[in-house]
Amino acid sequence: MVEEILLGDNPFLGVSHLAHEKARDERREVSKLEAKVEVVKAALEGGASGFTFSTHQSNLELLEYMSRHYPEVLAKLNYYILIPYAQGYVRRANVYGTVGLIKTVLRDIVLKHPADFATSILTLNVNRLASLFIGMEAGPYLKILPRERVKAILLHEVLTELLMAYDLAELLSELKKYVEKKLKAGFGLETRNIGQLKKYLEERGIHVEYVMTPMNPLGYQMAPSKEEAEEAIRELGKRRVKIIAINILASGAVTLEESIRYLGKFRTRMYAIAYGTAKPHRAKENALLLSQCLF
Amino acid sequence: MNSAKTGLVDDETFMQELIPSLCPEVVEWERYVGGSDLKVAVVGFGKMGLLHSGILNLLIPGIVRAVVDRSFFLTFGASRLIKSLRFYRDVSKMLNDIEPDVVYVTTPTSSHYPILRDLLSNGVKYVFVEKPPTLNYEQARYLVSVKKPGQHVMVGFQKRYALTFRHAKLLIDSGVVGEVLRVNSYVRSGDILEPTSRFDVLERGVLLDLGVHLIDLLTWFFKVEHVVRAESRSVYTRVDDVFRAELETGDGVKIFLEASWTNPDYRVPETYIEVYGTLGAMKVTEDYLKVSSEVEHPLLGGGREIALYKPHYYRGIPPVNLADPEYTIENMHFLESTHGGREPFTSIEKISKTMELVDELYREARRSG
Repeated sequence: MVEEILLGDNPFLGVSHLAHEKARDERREVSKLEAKVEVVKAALEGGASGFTFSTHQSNLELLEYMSRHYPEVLAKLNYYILIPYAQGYVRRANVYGTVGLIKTVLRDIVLKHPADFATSILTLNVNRLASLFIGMEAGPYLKILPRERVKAILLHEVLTELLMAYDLAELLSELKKYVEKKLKAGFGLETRNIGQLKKYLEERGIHVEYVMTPMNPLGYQMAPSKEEAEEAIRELGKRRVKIIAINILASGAVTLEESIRYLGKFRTRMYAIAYGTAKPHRAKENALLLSQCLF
Repeated sequence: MNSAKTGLVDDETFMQELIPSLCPEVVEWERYVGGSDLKVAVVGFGKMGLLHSGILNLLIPGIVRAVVDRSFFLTFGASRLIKSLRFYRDVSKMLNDIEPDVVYVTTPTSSHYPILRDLLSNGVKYVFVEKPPTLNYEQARYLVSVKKPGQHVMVGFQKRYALTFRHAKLLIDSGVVGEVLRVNSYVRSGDILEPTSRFDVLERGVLLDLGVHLIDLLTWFFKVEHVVRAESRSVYTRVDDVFRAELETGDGVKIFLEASWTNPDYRVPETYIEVYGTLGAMKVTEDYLKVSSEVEHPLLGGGREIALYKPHYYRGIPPVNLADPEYTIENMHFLESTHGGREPFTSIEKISKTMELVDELYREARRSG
């Protein structure tokens, strides 16, 4: 059953999978923090109950701003944190090189978790280092947000796909344990390869609480094919994995009405639906329509 | 809520009919995938090495057997984490141990040439190299000359595998915009927004690293003949951070281009080509294709206008999503080429004009001071 409508952060960051041009326009629209808060408030009015975002500096600024000026809004939302903001690391790799990037990340971990870092190095436990990285990324957000409202920490799709590609089941289990036990949040995976992920989790006997994945009538970002992705979503939903649908408008290529008709087929298998917009009126209307049609 | 309008009455049927000609890799994949027992090795485990080996393993689990990287720090750390791969710091040792059918070269550009030379002389049959394949045209030409029959080198000009650009090429060749009169183009990113010395060793910057994609597309689309003028400037590096030029085709068509990696408005790179012809105009990027023509055409769905976005093209394809879809299609193409022993679409021979133009552009920029 659909239990939550989530506001997504893509338009806040200048991310559009339809066109970079559109993304730049949207980012200009919400360049000021107040403009973003207006969108969040409107989404809440429309019936959205959560905010899903990646660990981009501008999201931290927004949430810090809300904690100072709109604590009542902050307290009403549930949070689904995606780690890390991958494009930020790609950009840093362009400047420092991959080895240089890893060294700067390790230096940051040393500064934040010196004792844990030393233990990981002495025991050559790279999985543990990866957990510390997740902790370091989530840390600033967990300090601001009401802890009981942080429902899940999800690995960004790039990490999920690479974990599968290199068969890093041990690391996946370690990260899950770290998030659930140490950070006390639900653990999830974002993926654009839902068919492969379902198979992988089955083969390795791993259960995750949340899976976030694109679901739209075009089959955009649904792999290995639209039909296989749909089947995987149904199967995972049946096994009580909480499916969070993202990119429901195929980045704007379909209308909300078309999307709702499509998502209706999965109503009993989905846990939440995320949508993004830079416009307050649309934030409210879309949340209203989604909750009316899919709850 | 309005969707991105395509201008088509039935875009689903139109795309279903169009995709086999735009993306034969997807059609061929089913036939190919069952019979593959290739052994792949990746040299260079940075950003692009991770990306390609990730896509390859998602396409065919376990196809990547070994990784070579010069960095002890990286190979040691990665070997602790990834048990399914063998890690090496020396290419020759890996070649002896693994005897790979296919080698991907994803090291920094400055090392492409010596590694490719060694791989070819060691008899590796199928080599993939990230763009740019070499530092200059002379190195590319040398590699072509030492390649033995049956050896293939494919270059990672992945923009040619993006369906928007493939559709644009089809439309230009079919005369949908008529005779081409003028072309404006750019490739922009915000990749370099602080000082870095990473490119000092290359003595070449944005044109070679990022602009080469645009040069390659322009060469493919329009058969560019020569450089009319070129200029460059540095902002954060000691090499070219912004490059502007004017090119000309054999028919006298002027092509304007800009390559910049210091534009903070561009979160991710964007490649843009605008074509004006006697019958219409076209705008194309990785994300969309917008065309208007005076004539109706089957490639415009029987109409005169079309606006198609990425989600219209990639409906449940490709079978793996990691980074942009063109990377997966590029890898599928390469694997399929190895299977049939065919010369890849972006073989080093086929892209040599691109490298020749890059050299000419740098020469002209230096000349004009």
